[in-house]
Amino acid sequence: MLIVVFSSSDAEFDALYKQVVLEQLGQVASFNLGAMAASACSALLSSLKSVRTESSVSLLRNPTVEDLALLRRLGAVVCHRYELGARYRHERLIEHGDLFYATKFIKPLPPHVLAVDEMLTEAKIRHRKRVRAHAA
Amino acid sequence: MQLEEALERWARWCVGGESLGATSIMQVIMSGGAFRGGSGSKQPLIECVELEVEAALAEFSASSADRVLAVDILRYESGIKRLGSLPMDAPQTSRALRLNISIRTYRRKLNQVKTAVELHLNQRGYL
Repeated sequence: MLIVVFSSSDAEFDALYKQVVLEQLGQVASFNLGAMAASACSALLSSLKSVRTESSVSLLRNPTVEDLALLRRLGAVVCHRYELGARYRHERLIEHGDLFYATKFIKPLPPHVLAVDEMLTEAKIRHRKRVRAHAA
Repeated sequence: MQLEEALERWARWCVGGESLGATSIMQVIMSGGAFRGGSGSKQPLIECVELEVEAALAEFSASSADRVLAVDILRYESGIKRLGSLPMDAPQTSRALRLNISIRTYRRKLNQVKTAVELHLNQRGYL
């Protein structure tokens, strides 16, 4: 299962990754696409095309706009950290149906913002629906 | 009595089949707990918090099929009902995924049914 996450800092991503590992009983892999060379990135994305199981989660961090479009076609669930900033809206990285998450609930947040466990189960349900629709 | 205590008593009643306590001396006499070795037959308790919880759940689930799932979630949480091959102490996320719903939906439904039970017990003066 592919989950694309947008996060601004390493510490913030680490907090997310740790929580996902705690919640996910299977395998969790993370790739920072924003820091990878284009050739390595395209090789990785082509290898991910065959990923279908929900027990194996691949967290793909900060892809480019082009890679994001490809990942959406592959069925990745796109998750944005809440209040990331205006740059993400300007670059049109956010689409209708994307998820928003927060690793810390230090203040009351809007109802559409999910905790990490909520984000993970929501992503799995969407993944199942997509696989089922694909099989039908 | 707190809601959690009422739910605990209800869960024990569902599994074990006996009410933990009566609310009046008349109920104790009727249930056969007051006289040892008497010849009278034992009567089931008809006024107890366990039955009121069950009544609240029946009332809640009667209105829509969607609420039946909420009641089932409470039964899974209380250990009254098993969800397939999942162990009794499986985390909520595993239960939610087995039911094919997200954990947020699972928790929302659980809160809905607990609120309905709490309201019902409040109206009957148990809480």
